[in-house]
Amino acid sequence: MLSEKVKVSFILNGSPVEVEVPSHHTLLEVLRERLNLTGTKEGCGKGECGACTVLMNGEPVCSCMLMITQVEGAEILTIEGLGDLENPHPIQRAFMENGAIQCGFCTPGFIMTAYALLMKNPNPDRKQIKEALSGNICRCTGYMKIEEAVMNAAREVK
Amino acid sequence: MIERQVSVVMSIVGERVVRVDAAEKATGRAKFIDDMKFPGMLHASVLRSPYAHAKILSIDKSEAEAVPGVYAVCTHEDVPGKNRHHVVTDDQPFFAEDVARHYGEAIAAVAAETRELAEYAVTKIKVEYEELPAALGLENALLDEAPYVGGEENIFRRYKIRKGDVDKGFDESDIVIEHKFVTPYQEHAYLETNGALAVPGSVGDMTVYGTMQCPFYVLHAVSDVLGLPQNMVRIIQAATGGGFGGKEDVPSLVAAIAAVLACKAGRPVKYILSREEDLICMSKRHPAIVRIKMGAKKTGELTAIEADYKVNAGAYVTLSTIVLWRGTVHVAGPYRCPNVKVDAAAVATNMVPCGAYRGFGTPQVIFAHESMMDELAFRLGMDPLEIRKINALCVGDETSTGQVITEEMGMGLMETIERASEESGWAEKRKKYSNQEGETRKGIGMSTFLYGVGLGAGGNYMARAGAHIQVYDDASVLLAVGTAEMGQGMKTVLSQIAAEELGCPLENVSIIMTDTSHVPDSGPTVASRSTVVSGNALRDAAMKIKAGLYAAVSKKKGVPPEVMESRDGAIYNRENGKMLMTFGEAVNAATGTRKHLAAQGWYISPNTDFNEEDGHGNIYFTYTWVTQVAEVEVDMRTGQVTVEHLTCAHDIGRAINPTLMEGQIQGGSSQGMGYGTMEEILYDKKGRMLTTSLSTYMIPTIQDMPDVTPIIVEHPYKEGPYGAKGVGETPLMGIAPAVTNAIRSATGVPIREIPAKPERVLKSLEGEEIL
Amino acid sequence: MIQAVVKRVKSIPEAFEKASGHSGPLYYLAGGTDLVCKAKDRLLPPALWLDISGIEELTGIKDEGDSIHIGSLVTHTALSEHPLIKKYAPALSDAASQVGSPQIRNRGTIGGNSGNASPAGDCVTALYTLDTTIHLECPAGPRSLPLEKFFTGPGKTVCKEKEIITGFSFPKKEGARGCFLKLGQRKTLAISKVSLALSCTLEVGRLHDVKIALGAVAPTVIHAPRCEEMLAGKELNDSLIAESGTLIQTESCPIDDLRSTEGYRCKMTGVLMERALKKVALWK
Repeated sequence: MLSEKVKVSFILNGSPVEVEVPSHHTLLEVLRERLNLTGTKEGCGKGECGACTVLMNGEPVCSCMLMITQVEGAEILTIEGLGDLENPHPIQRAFMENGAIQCGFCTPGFIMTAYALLMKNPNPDRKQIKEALSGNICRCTGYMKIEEAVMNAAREVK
Repeated sequence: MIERQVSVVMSIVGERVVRVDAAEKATGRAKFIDDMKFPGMLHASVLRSPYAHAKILSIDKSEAEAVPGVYAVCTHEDVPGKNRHHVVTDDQPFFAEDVARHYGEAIAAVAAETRELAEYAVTKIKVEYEELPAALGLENALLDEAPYVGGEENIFRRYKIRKGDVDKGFDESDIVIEHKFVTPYQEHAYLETNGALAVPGSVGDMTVYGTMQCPFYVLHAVSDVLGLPQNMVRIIQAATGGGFGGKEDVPSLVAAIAAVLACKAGRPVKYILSREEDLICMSKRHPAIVRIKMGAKKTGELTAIEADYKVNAGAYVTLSTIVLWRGTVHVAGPYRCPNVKVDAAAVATNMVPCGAYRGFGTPQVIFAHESMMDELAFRLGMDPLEIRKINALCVGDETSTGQVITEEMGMGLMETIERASEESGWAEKRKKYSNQEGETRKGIGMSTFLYGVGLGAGGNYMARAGAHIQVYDDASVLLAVGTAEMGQGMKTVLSQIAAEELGCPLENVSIIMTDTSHVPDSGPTVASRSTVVSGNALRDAAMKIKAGLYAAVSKKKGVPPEVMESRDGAIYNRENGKMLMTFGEAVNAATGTRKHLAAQGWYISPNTDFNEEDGHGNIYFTYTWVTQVAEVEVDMRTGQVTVEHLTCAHDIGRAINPTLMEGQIQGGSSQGMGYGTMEEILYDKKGRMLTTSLSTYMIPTIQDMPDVTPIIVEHPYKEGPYGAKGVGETPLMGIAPAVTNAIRSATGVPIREIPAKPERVLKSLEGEEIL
Repeated sequence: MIQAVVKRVKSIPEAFEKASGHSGPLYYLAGGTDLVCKAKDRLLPPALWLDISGIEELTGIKDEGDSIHIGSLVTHTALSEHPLIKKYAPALSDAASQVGSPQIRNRGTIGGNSGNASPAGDCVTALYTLDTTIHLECPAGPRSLPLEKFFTGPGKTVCKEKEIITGFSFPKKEGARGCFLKLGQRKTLAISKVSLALSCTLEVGRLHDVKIALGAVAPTVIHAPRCEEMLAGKELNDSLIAESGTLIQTESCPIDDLRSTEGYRCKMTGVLMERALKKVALWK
């Protein structure tokens, strides 16, 4: 099997990291397998569901399609970089309190996408929310409570 | 005996409390199966049949075994126990033996140091096949020249209902209509694919973690495949990323493969399916053909219903007989009809074995009977709402199986019809949409149906559940149940019920992931049954714990236990309303006097029965009653259908947590909308699945989903915890016909095959008779 | 399982240097949204991947006086938001905004979309209506050619071994109007089952510079020359719109596949044509 290691440095959740990993690995694999950050999920592996969404330089991207070499020098933010159990980020809290979570597998991806939206546009309308979240698939909720959660989070974040 | 407590003022039940697992899920801390790691853990990959039907002449695994980093390569020959997955019958092997009967059937498996190494090694296994002719599709499998797959002439099972005399009923009718309806596969598309992690223990035992709905099914499968007694096998559910029926029986296949590899390698083995693999070989909703003939009086009353219902079961029986049974007993809908004749058959094909999916054989027949009700209304010049009201079952009426509907079951059908139509503005909108022109037209349509809660007569023997409650001396409470959380909110609802029953603060309660070593076999987490069965088992356990608490309080306060009640985190004297002790003080008093503050609860559902000869019986202990209204806009030139609004009224007895209830309704509706308008699995001519990704098997995005207005109707079920029935499945089930009926209202054209994708709708609009 | 060795390069010369010592299959990795998918679908041989995503000179949208230049690494998001594209290539910004999902638009590039050579590529369809020149560079030197000459079939281009797509340029036209319409299997996050791009100008009610391209109805993106010719110089009115909707249905050769049928696609080119013309008629 073809494989060659590569050293990559980037900023992860605010701290610099350097990894030496097979060059054909994706950011998702590196996060989950090497760095033990398993909050970012793999739903399809091909950019079709958004469960693996992380922020790269502030923009939501699918980490399952991002080769690790492409991350060199970038700022990466994952769900672990927002709040934690004791102090959830207002967006996380809004998801919890609005019933926007069911099975929870898509949730980290949705929260990261919503975070990127609210950083850019703290006052989105419904259409903009739908637009921003259109790359994240949820099979459980029917999306309404997710949309409401983002609306409420926007109020909080302001 | 469980007392009826519907009228008691409650402090936790009925509240919109935040899900107990919300924080771990929102922060990414929840441990799903692929998030777990064990020292020395290997990764699995599975070789699957490239043919729909083939003889397996030889398997050479030597080259794969020689790959450095590979620790085990297994075929059916490496199964230490029984190579048979027992569901209803024993026909499905964990690893194919002499014959592969469907595309994607497991042939061999590899465990290696990394997942990619395992995937690589799988390509080194050499299998010689001899391709055989395949039975592809329901109708093909019934042709005389079709190759034999299974059952009796490719029919795994038949069911029938004979009620009254349909010939007489048709004679007495003023109008008879007959149509054929076709429904597609549906993929669950849970966001988390199937997966399991098998960890060998030190004494030959095996623990399996996994994403699953039915830990006890997995327990039986792993025990069978390894030839181990059940007390040497332990199944622990991981956080489960959606199920919807798709993690009912198939997790047993996944766990068995992981367990056989782990057994051979002597190391933990994790097997996570890729999305492609999951789509190809995990279970689906059965494609179906339903032919229905209905007779009615001019005034709308039904006089006879005759139906033929066939499902494409796939290559093995798995759950198909029970799915077929459930469909059979729901064919006549929530309507009063003296003469009913149903014949149903599950057909064997060389295709993926179909299994459970929210509704379990019922959405197919609902699509048929609800399309027919609109057809009748149209032919009789009636309002579709009226014809449903005229025929709706009432207390005292009999269903098609002769079961009499009682008040005690909780009967809110008419209220669902009325509230859904009022809330949606049915009358005004029908009028407004009656004469439209132009490129886009709007329409409104409805569906009404009933759904048996729980396993029913088909699964009577499994209709029981256990629960365990342990109260610690700091007054914290630990719950264990035998049914599973898969996103629906069971852990939260059951925590609410336990806290309510114990009279302790909800914050004191935590609930573990389901573990087969903690609770006796509680049957599957299916059929919208968990709230009722596990809720009642918890109440049983809570009552035993309260007995201990009350005895301790009684000793200290000199008040007899009979007058005590628990609520709001304390124990009260019911007679004078005075608080005797807080829950914490009572626990303190009880542990001080060596009371046993742990208890097992047990609940047995009321008996149900079904007579195979005529299809009569009291088949379910209660029913959920539903009316759904869809509003659509149809682009007359492209055939594109936009669902603009859904209004869904569910009589679920009692909402333990309205937020979770709404979540079930809205989420189920989106799956129903996908089923009705876009979801489709396609095969090539050789029986190989083509739609093997989420970009070819399309499910609704946030842009496709309309607002859904949930309406909760509460006609309490006497035996349900606080009156609750079940809601897990119904939200999906009538959306498809509500949407197609709305398309008809917009365009005048009936749609008798789903999904109502633009190509199909446009053909109908152009007058092409599709069926 | 991705079978590749990936090397990051910072400049075109560095890319050629790394490529020169390599025999065997070679792919350039830009956004990765197509390449990674193909690799995971086992559609690519084990190969050397040169990660060009960090090459500065391949980025940016520039006004070059008579024309607009788009670097091959410009993302769909950037295309859909950039004022120069909105002004001079509304069909392109329209198309870019409808590619995949926000996550895909944030990574996917116009160069990658072209190199992928899908007949359903949304941005390519729009570029066809802009008289676009594609710029390429291989170790022997750069070359430029009309975009239409670049594609030879589904997934096939005239790209030589080791050649890199460096950018695209198209002439500026004042008063450019245009739009991109697509039908997918759902409202978003869908590959086009049929798409149409239209670019034109409108002077005193008459259509000029009419360019029409169709996606997903032939082995490559195609023009609709009969319609283009028929519409040129004509007054934009209802009967012309209807006529164009009929005519364009003779200009494609679609197939049945997973996403749609031949007949439906053909008919829909007509509907999209009419709707595109109505859209430019109501231009603001």
